[in-house]
Amino acid sequence: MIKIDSITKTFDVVKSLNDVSLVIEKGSIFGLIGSNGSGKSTLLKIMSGVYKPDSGGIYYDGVSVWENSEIKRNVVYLSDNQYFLPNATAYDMMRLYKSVYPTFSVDKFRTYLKSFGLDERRKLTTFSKGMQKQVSILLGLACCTEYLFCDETLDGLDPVMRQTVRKIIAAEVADRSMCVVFASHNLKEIEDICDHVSLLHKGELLFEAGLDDIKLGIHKIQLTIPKERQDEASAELDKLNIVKKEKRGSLFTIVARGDEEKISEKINALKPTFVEFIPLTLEEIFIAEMEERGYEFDSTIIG
Amino acid sequence: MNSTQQLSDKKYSSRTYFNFVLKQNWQNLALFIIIVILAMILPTFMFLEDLVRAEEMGFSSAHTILDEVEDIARNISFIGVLVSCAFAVIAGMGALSYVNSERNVGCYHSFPMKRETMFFSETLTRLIYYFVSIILGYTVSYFMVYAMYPQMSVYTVSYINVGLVGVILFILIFSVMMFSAGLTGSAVMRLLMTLVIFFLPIALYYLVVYSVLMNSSLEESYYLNETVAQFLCPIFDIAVKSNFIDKTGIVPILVYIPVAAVYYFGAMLLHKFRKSESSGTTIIWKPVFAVVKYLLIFSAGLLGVIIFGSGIFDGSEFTAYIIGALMGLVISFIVVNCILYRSSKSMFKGLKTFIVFAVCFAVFMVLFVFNAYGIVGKPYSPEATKKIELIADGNHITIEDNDTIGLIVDYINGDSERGMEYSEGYILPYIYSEENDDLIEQYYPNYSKTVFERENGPIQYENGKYVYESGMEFPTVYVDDLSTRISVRVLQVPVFGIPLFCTVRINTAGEMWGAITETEGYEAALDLASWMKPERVDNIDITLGGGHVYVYNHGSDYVKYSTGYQIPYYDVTVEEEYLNIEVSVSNGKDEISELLSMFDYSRERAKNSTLIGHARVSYNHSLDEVMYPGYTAITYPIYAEDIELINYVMTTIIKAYDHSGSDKLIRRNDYTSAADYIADQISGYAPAFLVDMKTGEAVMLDQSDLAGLIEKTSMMPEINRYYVRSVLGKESSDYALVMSGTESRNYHGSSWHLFREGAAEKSELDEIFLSSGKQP
Repeated sequence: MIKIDSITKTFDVVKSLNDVSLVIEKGSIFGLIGSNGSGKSTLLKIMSGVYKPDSGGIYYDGVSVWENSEIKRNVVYLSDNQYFLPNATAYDMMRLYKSVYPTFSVDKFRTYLKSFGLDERRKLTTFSKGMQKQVSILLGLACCTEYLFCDETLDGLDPVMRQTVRKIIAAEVADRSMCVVFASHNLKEIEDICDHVSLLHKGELLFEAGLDDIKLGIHKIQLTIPKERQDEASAELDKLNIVKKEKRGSLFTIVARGDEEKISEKINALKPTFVEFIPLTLEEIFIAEMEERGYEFDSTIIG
Repeated sequence: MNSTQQLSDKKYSSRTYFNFVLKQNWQNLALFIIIVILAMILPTFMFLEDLVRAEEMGFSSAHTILDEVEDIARNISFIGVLVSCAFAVIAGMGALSYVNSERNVGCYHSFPMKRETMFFSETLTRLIYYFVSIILGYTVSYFMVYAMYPQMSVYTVSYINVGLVGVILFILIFSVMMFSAGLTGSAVMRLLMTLVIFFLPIALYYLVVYSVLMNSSLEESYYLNETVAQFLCPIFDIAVKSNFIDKTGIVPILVYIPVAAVYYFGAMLLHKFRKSESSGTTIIWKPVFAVVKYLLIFSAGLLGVIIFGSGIFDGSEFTAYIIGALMGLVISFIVVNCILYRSSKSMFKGLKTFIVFAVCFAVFMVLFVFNAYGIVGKPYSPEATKKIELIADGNHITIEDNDTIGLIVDYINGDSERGMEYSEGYILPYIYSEENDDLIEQYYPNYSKTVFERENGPIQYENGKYVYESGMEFPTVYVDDLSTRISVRVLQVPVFGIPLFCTVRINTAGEMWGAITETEGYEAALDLASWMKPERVDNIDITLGGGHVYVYNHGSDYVKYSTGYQIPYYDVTVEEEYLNIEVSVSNGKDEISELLSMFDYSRERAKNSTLIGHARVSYNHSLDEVMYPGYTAITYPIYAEDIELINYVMTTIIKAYDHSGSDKLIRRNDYTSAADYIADQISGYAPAFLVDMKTGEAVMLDQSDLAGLIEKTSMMPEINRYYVRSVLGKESSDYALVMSGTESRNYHGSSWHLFREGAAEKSELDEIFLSSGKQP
C-alpha cells in the first residue's frame, strides 16, 4: 500500500503539489488524471523517490521511499520521455535494468520483446517513438516489481499495441498483485484499464475514488419539459446537486451528483415528457469536474 | 510467499551496477588507450629512432646518449603529465553526465540505488580507466627505451616522480570536476565551474590587491607575491613545485591528495543532496549561483577599473575609473546572465539586485580604489601595532618598543616621499674602492643632495665626463647612494589585521634614525651573524677567473652551477655554445656557511691586495614569516690571496666542465689544431696577468706571452681538461691567469681565466712569471 501523506512540492514560485494525500492499494490499477501542469508527473516522481517533497512523505507499507533502496527495488518509474543509454540497444538497456533491479527477469523481457517483434540488438535510436515506448514498458514489466509507475507511457502506442500492453499489465496485476499507477490525460486509456482514479488540478487533489463509485455518483440525464413548465422545472432541477446544466429548446441536459434513485424520483416528479439516464464517460466526468472548479476547458488538451 | 516476494528477496550488490558501468563505458577506456598510444608510446618510438640514427651517424658519444635518454625520459614523463590533465577533463566531463539532463536524472534517481553507489561507480570506473591507461603508457614507454638503452634505469626515479605529478594532477582536477558537477547542471557549466574553482580565487585576489593598491603608497609586490599565488592556485603551486621534482621528489605536492579527497567527498555529498529537478539548469544551488555570478561581475568590474585606469583612456583618471567600472560591470552582468540563464532574453535578469550591487561596488571604489578617506595604507596606531620591521641600509631591523614604533608611525603619516623607489642593493664595491672611499669620507654622512646641488650647480657632460658647474667631477657612484636620506622598507605588523608594507625615506642624520639606531633591534641587525644566515641566503654569485659560480637556494637545499665563456664545447642537443652547467646539489647549509665564512672585507686589505673577482651574496628578506621577494645584496671583494675561496670557485668550475663523470658536452669541432684554438683564445684578450697566488704579485703578459703560456701548459684537444687536472688533486697551486676581454671580443667587462699549475713550484710557470717583467 502506498500512502501519500500531505505532499507539497514547490518549484521556484510555482506550487506543483499542495498538501496532496492519497492511498493506493496493492493490486490496483490507479489512474492519475489531471490537466496539464496539474502535478501528475511531479507526484509520480515523488512516489518513485526521484523528487524529495518539500513537506509530507510517501510511505510504502509505512516506510518512506526517499533514498530508500530497499523500497525502490519494488518500484519502477517509466517517464513520458524515457532515458536510454547513448547508442544503446534493447540489450544494453536490459543489462542496465538487470544491474539495478535484482528481480529483473531476462527471460520475461526477451519473451516480451519477441512477441512485440522488437530486435534486442538494434539501436534504440533507430526505433520509432512508439517502439521506444514499447521497450520502455517492457523493461518496466520485466523488472517484476510490486509497483509500476507509468507517466503518459501508453501515449504514442498504436491501438493494437495499446491493447496488448493493457492485456499484459492486466495479466501481471492478476498474477502477482502488481500495483500500476498511470498518469495521463488520455482519459479513455485510464477508463479502460484503471479501477481507481484521482483527479489532480493545480496541484490539489480534487477527488479520488473507485471508477465504479465515480460513475455511480454522478449522472448525466437528458429530459424534455413542456414549455409552460420549463421555468418551474429549471428551478426544481437547480435544487439537485447539479454539476452542469444545459438547455436547448425543451431539452434539458444535466449532470448531477447523488443517488440515481433519488435523482430519478425528483426528475419524475417534474413529469418530463422524456427522460433518459446516459452513462458518463470518464472524460465527461473529468470535464464536468473541471468546469465546476472554473477550469477554462480546452478540448485540445484532452487526448 | 508469492512470486514477487521471491524475486524481491534476491540479493542485490552495488558491485553489480559498478560492473555494468565499468563494462558499459569501455569506449572511454579505449579512448584513453588510443591517446596514450598516440601521445606517449608513438613519440617514444620516434625519439628512439632519432637517437639510434644519431648514434649510427656517429653524432653521439656514450655521454650524450645518457643525456639523450634523460631527455627522452623527461619528455615522455612530461607528456604523461599533460595526458593526465587531459584525461582528468575527459573523465570529469563523462562521469555522472546524466546529471546534466532532467530526463536522465529522473531515470537514474528512480533506480533502487543509493546516490553514493552511483557516484562511486561512475567515478571509480574513470579512475580505473585512467590508471590502466596511464600505467600502460608509462610502462610500455619505459621498457621501450630500456630495451634499447639500459641507461634509462638511471632516470627511473625521476621518471616515476614526474609520472606521479601527473597522477596527483589527475586526481585533483578530476575531483574538482566532480565537485563542479555537484554544483552545476550542464556540461559547459561543469567545465566553467572547474575553471572558477581553480582560477577565480587567484584572479580575484590579484584584481582586488592591484586595484586597491595602485593608488596607494603600499607596495603591491609584497602582497602579490608568488607564495600567495601558489597558495590560492593549486595548479600553479604544483607547476612550481614540479620544477624541482628531481631535488625534492613529490613530497611537497602530496598535500594535494587530501585536498583532492576533500573535493571528492564534497562532490559525493553534493551529489547525494542535489535536487533532481535542478538538473539541466546551470548552477543548481541557488546560493552558489548568486555568489559565482556576483564574484564574476565584481572581478570584471575591477578588471575594467585596472584596464581603464592604466591609461588607455585619454581623460581624467577619475573618469577612466568610472568608465572602466561601468564597462566591466555592465558587460559582465549581461554576459554572465546570458551564460547562467542560457538565454539572451535573460540578459537583464536580476537588474534590481545588480543596481544594488553596483552601488556597493561604487562604495568599494570610493573607499578603497580612490582611497577617499585614506583607508588604504593608513598606518595602524602604535597601540595596535605588534611590531615594525625595517629593511634599511642593508639591515633588517625589528622594532618592538612602543616609543620608536610611535615615532615611525608618525613619520610614515607625515612622509611625503612615501613610495619612492627603493635601491635594492647595498653595494660594497663602491665602498671598497679607494676612490669612493674618499668620496664617502667627504660626503657621507653629511651629504644632502639638495644642498650639494645648490652648492655645485647642475651636472653637465663635458669631455667624456660628468662634472658639476662648480667644476667638481661627478663621482663614479650615484650620489643618491651617498645621501643621508635612505630608502627604508617598512612592514608594520598589527595585533590584528593585514600587515602594511611601504617604502619611506628616512634621513639618517635625523632624530628618528637616531632613535632607530638606539633600539635593540638595530643593534641586533648590525650583528651580521644574527641575520646573515645560510637559510637566508637566496643566492651567491661569484665572478672569478674564466668562470662564474652561482649557488642558489632551493627550499631546503642549495643548487650550484657554473657558467663560462671560453669553454670550447657545445651541447649537440640544444646547439648552444654557452651553457649553464649544473654541478651538484650541495649538502646545503653547511656548504653555504663555509662559503660565507670565506668572504671578508676590510678597507685595509682593499688598499693592499690585488682584486681579482667579487662575490655577491643576496639575502632573502622574510618579513614576519611572509615571504617577500626582495633581497639585500652584499658584494664582497675577492683578493688574490684568498686561496681557499679561489679553490672553492675553481673546483666548482672544474666540476662543471669535468666531462669524466657525465659527458654532457662534446667538443666544438671548428678547431683543427692547437694553434687554432690558442689563437682564438688569446685573440680577444689584452692584457693578461699572471698572479702569484701566494703573494698576490702579478705580472702582465702580452699576447705572445699568453700564447706561449697556453701552448706550454696545454695540449690540444685537452687544453681545458689540462687546466682541470692541474687544479684538482694537487697539493699546491701557484698562479692565476687573469685575462681581460677586449671590446672587440664583446664580452661583458673583463673575462678571467684562472688556473694553476701542478705541484712543482719551480715550473715553467715560474719561468714565465719571472721572465715577464712587465708589472701591471
